[in-house]
Amino acid sequence: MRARRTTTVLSVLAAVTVGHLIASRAETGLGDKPFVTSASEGRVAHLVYGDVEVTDVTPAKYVVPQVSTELARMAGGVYLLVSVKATATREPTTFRGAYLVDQSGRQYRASAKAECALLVESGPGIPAYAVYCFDVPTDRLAGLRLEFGRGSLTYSTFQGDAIADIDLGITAADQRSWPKTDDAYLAESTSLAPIELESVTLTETGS
Amino acid sequence: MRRGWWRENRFWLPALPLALAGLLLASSYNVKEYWYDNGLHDELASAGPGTFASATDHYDDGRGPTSRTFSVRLAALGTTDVYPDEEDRGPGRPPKGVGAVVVYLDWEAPTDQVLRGCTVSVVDDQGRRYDVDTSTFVNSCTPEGHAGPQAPFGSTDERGTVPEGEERRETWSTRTVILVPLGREITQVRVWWETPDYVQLSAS
Amino acid sequence: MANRSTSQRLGAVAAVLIVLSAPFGGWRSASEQGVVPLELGQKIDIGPFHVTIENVKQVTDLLPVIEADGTSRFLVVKATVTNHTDRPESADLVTQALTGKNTRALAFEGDAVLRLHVYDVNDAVEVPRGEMVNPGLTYTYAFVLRQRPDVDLDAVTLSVYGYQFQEVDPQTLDPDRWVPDDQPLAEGHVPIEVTP
Repeated sequence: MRARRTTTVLSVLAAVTVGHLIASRAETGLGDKPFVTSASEGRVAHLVYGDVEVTDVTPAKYVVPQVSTELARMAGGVYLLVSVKATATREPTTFRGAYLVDQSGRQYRASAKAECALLVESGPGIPAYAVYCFDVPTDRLAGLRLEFGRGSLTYSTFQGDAIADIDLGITAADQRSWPKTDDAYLAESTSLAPIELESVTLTETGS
Repeated sequence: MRRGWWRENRFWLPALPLALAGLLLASSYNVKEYWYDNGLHDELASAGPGTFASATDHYDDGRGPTSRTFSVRLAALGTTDVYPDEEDRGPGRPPKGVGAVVVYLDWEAPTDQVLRGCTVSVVDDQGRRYDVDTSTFVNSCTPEGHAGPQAPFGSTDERGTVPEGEERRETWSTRTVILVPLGREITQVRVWWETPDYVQLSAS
Repeated sequence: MANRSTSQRLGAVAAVLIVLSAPFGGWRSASEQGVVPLELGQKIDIGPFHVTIENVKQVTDLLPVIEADGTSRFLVVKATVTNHTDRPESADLVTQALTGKNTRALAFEGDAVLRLHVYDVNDAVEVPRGEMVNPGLTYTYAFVLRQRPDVDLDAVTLSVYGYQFQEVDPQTLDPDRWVPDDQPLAEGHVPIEVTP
C-alpha cells in the first residue's frame, strides 16, 4: 500500500514537473531564435527556402530619389547601400526581413525616407536583386552583419524560421574613413538584373 | 505483467491512442490558418490539355461571401524571347539563364463574374511553382481592356459594376508570359485568385 | 503574541514593517513624477528618445517644403531627437508626444485630420510616417503645425509626453510597445519667434 502511494505521488510530481517545464519553454517560445546560416560578403548563404548573397556594400552621405525634382536625402550617420541577390529555391518567396546587427547586438532598419528597397520577391531559380539603404551611426560600422530572410521584423515572423547572417566585412579602417564620404547615389530598389549603383553630383537649390 | 492488469485496463488502453489523436487534432488549429490557407492546397477542378475545367470559387469580397464560376482550358504552352523591360515596359528580354513560358488559355464565363486580379502559375516536374508577375500583369485571366465587372471596394460599394467600355464577352482567350529558369519542364498550369483554392490544368 | 507559532509571529512583524515603509515612499506608484516647466534647450527623456526643443518660430511659409497660402500661419518646433535605445524606434513616437494648447490649429490642406507635418532640417525632406530611427542616431526635425492667423502666441503652451515600455504580454501576446503616460513630462509656454 505504501509503495503504491509513493509511486502515485512520484508520478504526479513528475507529471507536474514535466508539464511546468514544457509550459515555461513554450512561454519563452515568444522569442524563439531563428535558425541562422552564416556567410560573408561575396559568399552565398544557402537557406532552406532560398539563397542569399551580399554582392556589395557602399557608404554614402546622400541618397537621391530617381525623380530628379526631389531633394537628396542626407544621412543622420552614414548611409550603407547594401546590394543583395536573393533566389528562392522551392516556391515564389517574398523576402520581407532585412536588418543590420552590430557587434553589441543592436538592430538597424532600412531607411523609409531613402526610398530604396524594403523587401524583394523571387521566383524559384530566378535571382532578384535589391539595394537596401541603412542610415547607421558612424561609430558602429565595423563588424556589422546583415540578417536577411522571408520573415518580417514588424510581425515577428522571424521566430523559428531560417535566416541568413552575413558579415559585411566592414573593418575598423573602414569605420574611420567611410563617415567622411560626401558621395551621393541614386536610390535603387529591386530588379531582375544586377544593379549598378549610379553616382550623382548634387546641385544646390533654393535656401 | 499480470494477466489481471491487462484485463483491468482493457478499455483504457485502446482509448489511449484515440485520446492522443484527439489531443493532436485539438492542438492543430493553427495548421489550417498558417499552412493550409497560405498555400495552394484546395484543388477546385482539374482537366487535361484541351479540356475545359469548370469551377465555382467561394471567397469574400468587400461586401461579404460571394463566388465566381468559370470554365478554363489549356490551349497551348509555348516559349518566347520577349519579356517587358522593367524600366519602360517596352519589349525586352528575360534575364540571363531565365526563359519565358507562354500559357494560352481559353475561357468561358457569364459576363457578370468578377475575374479580375487572378494569378496564372506553372508548376514543373519537381513541384516548383512559378507565378506570373502580378504587379506587371494585373489581369491575366481577362481580355485586355475588357476585364468585366470589378470587385466592390468596400462594404457600401455595389457589386458587379463594370467600368465604361470594359464589358466582357462570354468566351475569350488569354496569353500569359511567366519567367521560368531555362531547362525546367512544365507539367501543370494553375489558375487562382485567393489561396488555398485553385484550378489545375495538366500540360500532358 | 505569546501563544502564536513562530511563523505567525514572523508574519505579523513583516506586516508591520511594510506599513512602516509607507512614509519612505513604499506605497507611491513608481511613475508619478511632477510635471516640469518646459524650457528651450532642455533635454527630455521621453522613453525611446531624448528630445530637446531648440526653438519655436511662427512663420508664414517654410521653403522649400511649405509655401505661403496668404492667411495661415505655421508654428515650427525645431527639436533634436536621439534614439538612445538598442532598437530602431518609430519617429511617430516623438510626433505623438508633442501637443499644444491654444494653438488655433488647422489641418493642412489635403489632410483629413489635424496632424503635425515633420521635416528633417538637414535635408528638408518630409519624414515619412512609420519612419524608424536607428539606435544611436540623432536627427534635427521641424514639427510643423498649421494655424489660424488670429492665434495669441502668448497663450500658446506646449507639452511633451513620455512613454513607459511594456514588454511582450505572455497572456495576450501583445508585442513590446511604448505606452504613453497620462501626464506630460514637461509643459509650458516658451518664447516664440515670429518671422513675418
